Amino acid sequence: MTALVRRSPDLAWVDSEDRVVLVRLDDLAAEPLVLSGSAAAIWAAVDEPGTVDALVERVAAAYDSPADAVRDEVAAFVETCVGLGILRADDSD
Amino acid sequence: MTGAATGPATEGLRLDEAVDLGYAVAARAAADAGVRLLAIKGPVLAQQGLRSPAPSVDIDVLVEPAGYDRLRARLEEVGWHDGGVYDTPGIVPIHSVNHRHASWPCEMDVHHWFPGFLADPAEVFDVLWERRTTAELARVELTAPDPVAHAALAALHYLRDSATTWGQTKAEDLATRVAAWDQDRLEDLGRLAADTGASGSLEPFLRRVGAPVVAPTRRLAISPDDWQMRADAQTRDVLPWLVEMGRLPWYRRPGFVVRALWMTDRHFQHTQARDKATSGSRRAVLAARWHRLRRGWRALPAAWADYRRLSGRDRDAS
Repeated sequence: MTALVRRSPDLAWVDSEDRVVLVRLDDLAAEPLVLSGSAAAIWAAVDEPGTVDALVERVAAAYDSPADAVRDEVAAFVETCVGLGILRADDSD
Repeated sequence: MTGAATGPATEGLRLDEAVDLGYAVAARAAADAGVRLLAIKGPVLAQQGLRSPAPSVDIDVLVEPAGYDRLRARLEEVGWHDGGVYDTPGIVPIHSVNHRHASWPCEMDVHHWFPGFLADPAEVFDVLWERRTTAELARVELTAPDPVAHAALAALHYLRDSATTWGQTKAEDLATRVAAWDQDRLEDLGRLAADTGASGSLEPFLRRVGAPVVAPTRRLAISPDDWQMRADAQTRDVLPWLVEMGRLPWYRRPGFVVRALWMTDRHFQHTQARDKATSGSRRAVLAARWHRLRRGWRALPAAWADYRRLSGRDRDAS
């Protein structure tokens, strides 16, 4: 995948050791979202925009795992979060 | 990896998370409604070095008075409802409305004026807005009072309870921090107090930190006597009812007493929800009502003595 994945700019979020909690500011009626476990780690990997392949490399490095071991989970996370409106995937930088 | 979990935080939103996120929600709701809003107290005060970092239990914001209804409408749209019960008396006029959301563990206190700033609330807001700064919570930039204005606001918050150990401790902690400011900043604090009708209400604090006490530069719109009574009060639960009764014409007092003793169900349940004391059955509510009456009866002698002292009746009678 070559699309750049980035966080939505319209978010408020806080993080702690074990999780990230987000609120969509463009949809204040939506429930806050919690990212826990590896979801929080993948979220951290999106500090800088990157392709899914780049995110896979970052997460793999963070977990000291082979890229293939995290690829499916990262891709699924990105797909879910794009659907929730908290990540964007586009070709522009 | 341990498995990703992504989902609504309906049951798990922690208080510290909720407060920071809630400030961002309030700011966005105000922006949506075209209302000027200042994030006050709590974590913003801590960021400005005016108090130690400590957990906050609610979200506090100050909005331009003319914009409050628009903000309330916007907050209602997104699930932050105000209790709608405003008939509990207060020694100073109602200054904030508590909004609650079913999924959030904290309240959002929306202030349309701040007690102790005794000039016209709209003028006070303009003064505070003119010298606004920014703070960041939950990765969102918020508009906040600058440290001088925020110190004045926080001092008023603590002085309002200056008869309590809590108020004295907090005021002294703030004073220690502000007393370390340079003279220009302290003079700025004195001028700000004058410009917001707070020279008198802030006087103990200004003297404590070495700031000048400047004569007010604006007409006071709110009674300094009410403020002084609130600041000097040593009791809490029953006193506001006595004060309110003293303000009423004699022919309205019997009805007021009945209401004080036996609030409407809606009013009572609102206060109980706030105290987190009671919920549910009719029997539990009835028991809580009797508990409240017994508590009020026990508090009455001290409140009456406090009321007579504060209203000057003892002095007049001697």
